[in-house]
Amino acid sequence: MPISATVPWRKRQSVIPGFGMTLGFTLAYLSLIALIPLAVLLFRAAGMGWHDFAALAGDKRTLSAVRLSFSTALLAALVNVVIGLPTAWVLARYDFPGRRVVDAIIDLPFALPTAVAGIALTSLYAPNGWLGAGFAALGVKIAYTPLGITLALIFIGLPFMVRTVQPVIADLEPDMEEAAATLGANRGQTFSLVLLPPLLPAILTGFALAFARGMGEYGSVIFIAGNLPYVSEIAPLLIVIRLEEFNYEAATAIAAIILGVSFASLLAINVLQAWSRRSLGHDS
Amino acid sequence: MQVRIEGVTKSFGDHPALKDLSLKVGSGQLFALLGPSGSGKTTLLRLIAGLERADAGAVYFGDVDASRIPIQRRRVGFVFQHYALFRHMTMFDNIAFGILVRRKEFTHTRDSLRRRCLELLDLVQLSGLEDRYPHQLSGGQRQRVALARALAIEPSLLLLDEPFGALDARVRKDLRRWIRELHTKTGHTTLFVTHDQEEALELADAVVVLNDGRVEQIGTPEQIYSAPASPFVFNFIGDSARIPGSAINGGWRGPRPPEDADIFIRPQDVTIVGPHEGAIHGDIVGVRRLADIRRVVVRTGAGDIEVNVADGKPTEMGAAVGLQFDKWRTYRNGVLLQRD
Repeated sequence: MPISATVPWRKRQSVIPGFGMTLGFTLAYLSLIALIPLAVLLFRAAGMGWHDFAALAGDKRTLSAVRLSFSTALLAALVNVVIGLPTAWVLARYDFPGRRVVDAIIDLPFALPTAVAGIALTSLYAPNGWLGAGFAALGVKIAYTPLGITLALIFIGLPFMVRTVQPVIADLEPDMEEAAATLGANRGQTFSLVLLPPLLPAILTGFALAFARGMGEYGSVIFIAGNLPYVSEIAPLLIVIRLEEFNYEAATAIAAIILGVSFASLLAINVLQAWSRRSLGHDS
Repeated sequence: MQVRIEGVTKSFGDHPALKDLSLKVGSGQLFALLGPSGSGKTTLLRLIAGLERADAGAVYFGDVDASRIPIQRRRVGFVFQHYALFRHMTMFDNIAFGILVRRKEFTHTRDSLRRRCLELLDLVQLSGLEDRYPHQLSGGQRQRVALARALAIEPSLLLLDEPFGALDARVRKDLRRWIRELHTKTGHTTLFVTHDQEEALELADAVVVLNDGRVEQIGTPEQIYSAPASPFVFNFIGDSARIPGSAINGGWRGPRPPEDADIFIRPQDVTIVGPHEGAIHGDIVGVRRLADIRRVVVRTGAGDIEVNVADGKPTEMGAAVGLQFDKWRTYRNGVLLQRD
């Protein structure tokens, strides 16, 4: 609304009561469960001094673990865009027998203990597993490789993608597609010019959520990863290893790096999203 | 382009929407499809556009069976009730869309495309708004952009689905007049769907009255209004009262079973006379003010009958009056039996 641009926020009269109370509440619990723990983390990382931190962060094993977490999370989130979009489309647009069941299955990765998912995926994709055996015959090894990690992260991230995009698709009027068709657009043009642009902000949100989840995912990954240092060892696992060695400094350093990478990525995605919303005329 | 619809039938599940419907629309004409909701008028329009497929029968564009032409190549300009503008595009991009996706048919340079789109914006009287997004415009403006977008593809046929349905009364009136002018100027064969009889009568060259998936009557607005072919049309167009029976001059006589006949009259064709004169007698039970006339409700043995009364004539609630009929139509089993 144009009003918000001209009237200072403190002076604005709103019909929705309780702005002060809800903001205070939000800040309070955000501080307790997120800001203070993160600040302690950063404080501890800062406390060890730049030299020590650089040495710990520059450790080859640490770097390869962070790189692995980052790249597999990124790849899995990208794959989830490709899988999640048609899934959300089918669920939002069509009524077919078993739609509700499929709809419920989408949420399973949320509910399932991640370790269960990890063990299930491992037994399925291990070289002697149902699917793994077939892939092994083709010379593709899935479990105990970065490919296996990516697979677990795709499983974990899919509901984020589907659940963010689905309501937006349900909200798109079929009118627009019909209008595009009468104007002469073929299916490809209708999809890329008419349907995709309004979905882009939601797709970016889903991507960001899936990616962030992938960066921090631990339970499902450690079973399928094989956890070979320098090859298939993810950063969250390395933190646990360092903690078990009572090497709190190193654990803190890795955590700080993950935090930095995640924050920078999410910030970049948010900027991109704000830009896409603006350039597509979403904001009024 | 002439459009011919031959024996089209269409059902949605168990619900039949169109029943063996035939219709011919001459080139350059402005046709109104008029009917109550559920009469199949929108289904018919969508079928012509290719947005629905007929179960039986065919639509011909000129001499070509339209089912052989994919929707993208029919060159039908379709205007939706809720505009269906691309909300992430500016007005300019909305209008240019049809031209850009048909790059093979329209050989436009960047300059000529721009000129064409601005020309269309000018035609719909929205010059200067090319950089606005749909949510920044009023309903009437959006509908005009939707029309410009449909005209951009140089359609051979223009279809409007309740184009004024979502607009307020004032804007409707303006747009109605404006569409009429536009049609005179551009001469596109045009069909529009409406449930508003006033709109259909004012705007169209010919009105097609639909009821329950069938054509009740096709005719000029004059014919539809003054010579309704069926009780349904009489009842649907304008205000009317239904009196059961078949005889009215020289005293009303109730229906005589098994005869199924009804007399239809309009409020302006009834005169209030003294309580001992006229064909039917009753008491005044209501007086309402319409815009330019008073409407009196008289309760008679044949039911409530509405009568137009000129200003200055006294009308008293409860007064006993007689009614004299100047014009009426009698239908027996739905067929016109006797006029006036």
